Amino acid sequence: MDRFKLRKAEPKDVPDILRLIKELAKYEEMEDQVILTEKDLLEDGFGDHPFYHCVVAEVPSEQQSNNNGPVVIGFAMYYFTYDPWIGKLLYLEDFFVMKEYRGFGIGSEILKLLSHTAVKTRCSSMHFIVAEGNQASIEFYKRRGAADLSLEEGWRLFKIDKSSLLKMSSGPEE
Amino acid sequence: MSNFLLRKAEPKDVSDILRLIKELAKFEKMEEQVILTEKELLEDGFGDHPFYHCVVAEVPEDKQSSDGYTVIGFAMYYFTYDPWIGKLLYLEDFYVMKEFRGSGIGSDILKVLSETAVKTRCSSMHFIVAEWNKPSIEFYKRRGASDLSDEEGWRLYAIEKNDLLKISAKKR
Repeated sequence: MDRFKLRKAEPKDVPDILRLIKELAKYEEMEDQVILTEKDLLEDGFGDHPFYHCVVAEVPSEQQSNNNGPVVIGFAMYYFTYDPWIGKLLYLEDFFVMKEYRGFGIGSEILKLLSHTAVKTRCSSMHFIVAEGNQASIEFYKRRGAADLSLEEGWRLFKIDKSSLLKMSSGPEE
Repeated sequence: MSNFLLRKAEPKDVSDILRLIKELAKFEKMEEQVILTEKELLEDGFGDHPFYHCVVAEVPEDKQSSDGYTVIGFAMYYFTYDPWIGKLLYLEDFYVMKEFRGSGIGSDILKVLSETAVKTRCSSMHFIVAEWNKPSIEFYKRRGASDLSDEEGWRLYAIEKNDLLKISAKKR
């Protein structure tokens, strides 16, 4: 398979983006945790202020595995973050190519496009998180120069969930 | 000390923001790694599309710091996106000058950020903490924070610019 195209996502791609988000979540056995809707994705990605950007990988209709199969077969979701020491960064949030379309360099091309976007928008670096058990992904990224900042600098990711945020925002003065 | 105010940063605060960023970096012994300039902070934070937001803590003139400053703390944050739940508030930097600590300024900043997160319909606030930074870890855990690196095994990776250039120039 040698014919695929990468392009910026458009509002019409929202159902495919959600489908691929769920497929990736299913692969991580977390499909029921996806509560995002097409409406959220549309407002958040294609409104006045986009909270995320997407690149999609598409194959021509005649190359689908069955006549009714989807045309969008991979995606990457990213946004811009800010490092107070160096400025803008590109943050890669989700990255997935459907199983039957792997091994053709689509993932590599997506990463190439993202790297180009990062450089063009004057980002100093691309950041992303990888689960420590995901050896295949870790190798994929390490082959491209990725460094494990959790290992090198001891960073740990924390979260404060909505219930605790509500407690804090309405709680008594300390 | 109840004599302080928290407010959204304005373009005029950019030199104080940079000063506090450098002070925090100095505390982490990384001061020379701060290559960001006031010009970039101004463009990136107060242009058409802000890449970050800041809240600053200010004291009255008569309460100024020993080196003469009235902006004595700040928090830098931006919005990120979780493909399962949507918008998140990401806390990037958070610092109160040493002589102003212990008065609840940090707690109040976190409260303002929590309100902002809830008001902008964020599901969660995320941030990273260095594993050796026990006081900060305790500060956050007291407020309900959980360690996702611990619970879910996430590790933060970076691909730096020279490698990005290599990748973007590579032929298929």
